[in-house]
Amino acid sequence: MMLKHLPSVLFCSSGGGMLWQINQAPPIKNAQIGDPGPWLFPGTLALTLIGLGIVLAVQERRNFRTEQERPFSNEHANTSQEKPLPMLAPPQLQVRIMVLLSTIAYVILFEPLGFSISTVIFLSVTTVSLAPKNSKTIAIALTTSLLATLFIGWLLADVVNVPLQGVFFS
Amino acid sequence: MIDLFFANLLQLTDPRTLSFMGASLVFGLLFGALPGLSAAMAVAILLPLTYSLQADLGLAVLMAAYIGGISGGLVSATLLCIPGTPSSIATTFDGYPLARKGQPVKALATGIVASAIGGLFSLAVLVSFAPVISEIAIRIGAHEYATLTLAAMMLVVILAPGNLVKGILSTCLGLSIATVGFAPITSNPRFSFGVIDIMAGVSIIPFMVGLFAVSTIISGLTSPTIRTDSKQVLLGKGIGIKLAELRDNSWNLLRSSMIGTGIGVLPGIGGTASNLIAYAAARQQSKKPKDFGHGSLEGIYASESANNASVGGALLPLLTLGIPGDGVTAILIGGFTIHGLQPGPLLLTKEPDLVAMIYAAFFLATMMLLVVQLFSIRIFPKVLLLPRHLLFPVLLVLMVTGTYVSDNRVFDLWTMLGFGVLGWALEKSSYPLGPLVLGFVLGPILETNLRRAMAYSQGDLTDFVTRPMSCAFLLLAVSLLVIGLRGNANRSPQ
Repeated sequence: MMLKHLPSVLFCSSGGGMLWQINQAPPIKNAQIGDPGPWLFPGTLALTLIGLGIVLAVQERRNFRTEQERPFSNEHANTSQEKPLPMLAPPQLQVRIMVLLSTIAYVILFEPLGFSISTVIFLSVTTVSLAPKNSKTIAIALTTSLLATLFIGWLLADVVNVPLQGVFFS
Repeated sequence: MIDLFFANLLQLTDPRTLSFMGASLVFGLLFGALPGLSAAMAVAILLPLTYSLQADLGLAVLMAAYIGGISGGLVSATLLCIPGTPSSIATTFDGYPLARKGQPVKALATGIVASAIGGLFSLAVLVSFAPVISEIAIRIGAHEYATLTLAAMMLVVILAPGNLVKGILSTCLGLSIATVGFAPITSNPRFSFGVIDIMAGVSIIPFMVGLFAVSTIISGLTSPTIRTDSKQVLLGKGIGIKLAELRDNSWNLLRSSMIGTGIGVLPGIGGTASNLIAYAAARQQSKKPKDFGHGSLEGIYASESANNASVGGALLPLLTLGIPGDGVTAILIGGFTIHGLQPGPLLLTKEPDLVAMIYAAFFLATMMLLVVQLFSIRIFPKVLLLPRHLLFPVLLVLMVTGTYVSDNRVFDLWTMLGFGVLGWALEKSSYPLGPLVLGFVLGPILETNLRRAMAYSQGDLTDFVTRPMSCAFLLLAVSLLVIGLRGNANRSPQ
C-alpha cells in the first residue's frame, strides 16, 4: 500500500519543490505588458502535479479498498487452452548488481581511461556475467567483447568521424 | 519541389551515403525484429551518432532506421507469432498461420511488398499535403499555435493506454522537465539550482536515449523476456508472390494505406492502432472473411501496408507544424535540433532543400527496404537467434558513447542513466511514456506561444476564444478532455 502511494508522493513533492523555487525567484523586470512572465507556466504545472497527485492517491486508496472488499471469484480465471509464450527468466540478482556496478564504473572511467580500454573491460565483465556459465560461451563472450570494441571504435572514429578519445588503431 | 527531390535522390545515391543508410536500415530492422526492442530505441541510439554527420546525411540515417524499425516487426510476427513491434500485432493473425501452413517465405514476402507499397503511398500523401498544411500553418498566430499544441497533447493523453490521471501526470512531468534551464523570451534561469550543466536545460539526447533505450535494457534485465530462438527453416526458391494476388488486393492495399496514413497523422496513435484498424476494415470488406486468422493474404497486406503508411502520416505534422505524430518522430525532433534546425511551418520555406532530402531519403529507404528484405528473406530471420547477453552490453556501449560524444560531457551520461531509471519505473507503474516525451518536446512551443499570445493581447485571455481558429482548437482540447474523463469514469467501476 505504501509503495502504491510513492508516485503520488513524488509528484506532490516535485510540485511542492517547484512552487518553493518559484517563491524564491527574484521579481521580473524585463517582461512585456501582458506577458505573464517565466513563472506562470511552471507554477500552473506545479499546482497540476500536486492536484493530480492527490487525485491519484485517492484513486489508489479506493482501488485498494475495492480489491480487499471484492469476494474471490474464478469467473475471469484463465481457462484458455492457448500455449503460453516461451519465456527466458531474467538474470539472477547478483548478475544484475554486477551489470549495474560495471555500468556505473564504465561511466566513471569512460573519460580517464578512454574509449577502447574502458569499453573492452566493460564488455568483458558484463558479457561474462550475463552469459551462461560454461567455458565455450565465456570464450565467445570475451572474443566478442574485444572484436566489438575494435569494430565500434573504428566505426565511430574513422567512419562516422566522431571525436572520441583513446580509440585503438584510429 | 519535384526538381529538388530528384536532385537530392541523386545526391543520396553516393556510395558513402548509401552505405550509411543501408547500415542504419539493417540496424532498424534488427530492432524491429527482436521483441522488446523498438524503432524508437533504434532511432534514439543512432541520434547522437549523427551529431558529427552533415544535417542531411544525419537525417537520412535516422529516417532509414525509423522505416527499418517499423518494418522489422514482420519477421518475428510471422515466424514466431510474436510481434517484434506493436505495429505488427495484426500481422501475427495471418502471417503466423500462413507460415505454419508451410509458406513462411510467402508470408514474409507478402508483408515486405505491402510495407513498401504502404510506405510509398504515405510518401505521396506527405509530398502532396505538406505544402498545403505548411501554407496554412504560416498564417496562424501564437494564440492558435498554443491552443493547437494543447489539443495535440490532449489527444495523446486520452489515447494513451490506462488511467487518464496517469496520462496527464506524465504530460505534466514532461512539460516540467522542459521548463528546466533558461525561460523562453526573457531568458530567466529556472530550476537549475546553480548547477552549470543544467543551466541550458535538459539535453534532448540523454533524455531520449535514457527514456527509450536504457529503460528497455533495464526492463530486459529485470523481467522475463520472450524466447526468440526460431527453429523454422526457410528453404525453397523464389518468394511465392503472384502478380494476380497483388492485383486482387489493390483496393485492400489502397484502403489500408489510407487508414495508416490518416491515423499516423494523429499525434500519439501511429502504427500500433493503424495495423489493427486496417486489418479489421479488410476483414469487414473481404469476400472471404472466414479465411482471416487462418493465413489470409488480405490480412497480411492490410496490416503491413497500414503500419508503414503511418510513417509518412506521422511525418506530416512534424514537418509542417513541428508537432510529432508518435514517439519516434519526437526523437527525430532531436535530429533536427542537434543540427540547429527547427521543424515547423517555416521549415518548408526556409529549408526546401532539406525537406526534399527527407522525402528522397524516405523514398530511397523504402526501396532499399524492399530490396534488402527480399534478398535476405531466408537469412535475416537468423537475427532472432542473437543472444541477449551479447546484445545488451553492446547496445549499452553505443548508448554511452553516443550520448557522451553529443556534448563531450560525463554529466550527460548520468542524466541518461537517470532518465533510464525514471522511464523504467514509470512504465512499471503503468505511466505511459508517450505523453511524457510529447510534453517535453512540445513544452517550449506551448509556453513560448502562450506568452507571446498574452503579450500580443496585453494579457487579455478572451482573445483565445474570440479568434475562430484558436477557439476551435480550444474546444477540441476541452472535448478531448471530456471524452477522456468519461472514458475513464466508465472504466473505473470495472
